[in-house]
Amino acid sequence: MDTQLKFKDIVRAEEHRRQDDLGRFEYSYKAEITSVHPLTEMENLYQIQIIDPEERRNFKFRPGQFLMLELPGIGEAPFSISSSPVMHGTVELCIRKVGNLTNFLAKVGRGTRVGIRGPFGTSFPMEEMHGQNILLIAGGLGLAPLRAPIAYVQENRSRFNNVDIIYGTKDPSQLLFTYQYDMWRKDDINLHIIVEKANKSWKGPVGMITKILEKMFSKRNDPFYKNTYAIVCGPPVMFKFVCNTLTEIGIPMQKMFVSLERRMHCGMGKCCRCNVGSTYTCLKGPVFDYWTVMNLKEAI
Amino acid sequence: MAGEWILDKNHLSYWLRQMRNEMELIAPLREREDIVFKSVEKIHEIVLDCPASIPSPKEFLTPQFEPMLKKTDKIIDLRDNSKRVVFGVRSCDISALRLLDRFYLNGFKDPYYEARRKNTLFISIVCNVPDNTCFCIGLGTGPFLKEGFDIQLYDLGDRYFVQCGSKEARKWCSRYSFLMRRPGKADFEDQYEVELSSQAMFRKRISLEYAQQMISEDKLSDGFWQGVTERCFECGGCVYVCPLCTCYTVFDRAYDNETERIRVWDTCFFKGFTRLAGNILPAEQRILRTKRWFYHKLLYYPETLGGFGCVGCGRCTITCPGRIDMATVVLKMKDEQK
Repeated sequence: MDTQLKFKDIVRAEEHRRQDDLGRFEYSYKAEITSVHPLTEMENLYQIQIIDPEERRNFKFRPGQFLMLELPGIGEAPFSISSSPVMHGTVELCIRKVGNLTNFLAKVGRGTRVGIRGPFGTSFPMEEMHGQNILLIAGGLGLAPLRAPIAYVQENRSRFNNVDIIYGTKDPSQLLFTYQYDMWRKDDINLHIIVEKANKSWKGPVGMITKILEKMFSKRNDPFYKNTYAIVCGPPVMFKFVCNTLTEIGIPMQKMFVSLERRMHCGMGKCCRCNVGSTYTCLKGPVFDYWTVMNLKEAI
Repeated sequence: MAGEWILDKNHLSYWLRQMRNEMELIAPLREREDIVFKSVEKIHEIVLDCPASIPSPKEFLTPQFEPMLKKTDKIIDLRDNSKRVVFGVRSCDISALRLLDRFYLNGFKDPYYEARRKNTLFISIVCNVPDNTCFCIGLGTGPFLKEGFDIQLYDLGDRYFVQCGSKEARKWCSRYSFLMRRPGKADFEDQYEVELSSQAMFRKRISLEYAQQMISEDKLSDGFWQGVTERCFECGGCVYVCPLCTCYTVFDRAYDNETERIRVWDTCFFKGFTRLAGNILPAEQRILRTKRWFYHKLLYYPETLGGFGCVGCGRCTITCPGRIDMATVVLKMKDEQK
């Protein structure tokens, strides 16, 4: 029985929460916004570079981690990093205008001085996924944290088997990173896009993400799923439906990774905002395997 | 133990004066009906019979309003390194400090807490007569302590039995050893008697282990928590007076050419406490927030820090306008099984 949990798998799932994933909590790097690229009406992509070249060289992060962006006089907010871990002195953050800090951020342009703390949290265990199939599933703004593992997959495409990106949004105008879709397809990544509400120009499928999943799974044979890892990012409502569908198909729970969203204020497990049960999402998360999430009360 | 002394009550004033020459002396003072910890100007005004203060002494380690740093052209650290001695703390508050130490100094060390903790000396007094609201006896956090204190005083009528628990405390006792004498057999007898009599005087016996078991085995119905929630005013009083509640928020305040970063207490009972970007509220229903407080104190604290998030000081019993403080709710749990 391959679908049943093996002790080895559980141990491996624990291993990815390595302590050295945690960044330097208190140190604020001086950085600068080097470019602002509007993606949709609400979202902008900010490229941020650490000013000091020595610090820039030493700043490393892994896909799935987040950092704290600080605007002096406005405050701090956590953002997941949505760029490739290879260019480690420069980070790209996909930010939606919703709050105090993000609205201010939308007004400022190139050259603004900011501070960044981090990187914080756990990451997606990408090395563990080598030689396997990957399902990258994003809903709405969930593509922002997912872009880092996608970039990792692009850079190490030969190490992965079959890669699928499944991306769903409310309507076509909210699609993010549209300019990258062709590049992903060129890298032999199957891209499936679905929208909940189509407009006139939309020619793709309409519905929820689970619709694509069901369609995909009916085609493929069973052993495929045992060697499949899934990464799911999106709003909390999505997790339940998507992960249930994936479990039914036969993907083991410890091979599904989700990125939980909670309010993180300090990033070091002191301010007590982000806890799910006794687990602090900023320290033990935000990346959890679904097996852990199922054991956390009220996580999703 | 080497750190045991007898201090005559007449000499206490002189001892405290000498401490005040080097450090800021903070002690319980009477303000109308309330007892508050304040910087002392007249030593004879100190309330000596170990009274229950309503704000807990945690405010000298994590103040309600704490400027952290100032940014002008460069960053100025506003860390508080001033020396303090806090006199007249109850044993339960000292037990709370020990858990706070574990919380703030494990993993990432909070530098602001660490600086204050290092420079603060606590002198606790054993409660000879516990209040009606106290229930530390069932938790092992009072009325006297066996370890973890800096200086512990037993009131033996005409003299104090002084116990030193830390290096700093021993320094203060041995330097003023001419005020003190070594305890004799009668002093130990009296000390033991005080321990016994104060233990016997507790009115409330509450077992938090039972409550923990009820919660972890999920034996409480939603109706029970609904009942508790309906009585909650969301005033946050219990959190502010609790010696073990640590939630805080940090915000920036901008002036003309400088910004200041300030840390203030926050309350998990408020709706906006966990608000995410885009106004998503993970704990929108009040029942979730009420449960969260009790779960945190009874389940998560033992899991993460190895001790209950309650020391039985009874402050929430006095403060809560809805009568849903820790003691009352835990007592109610006994009647409410699913």
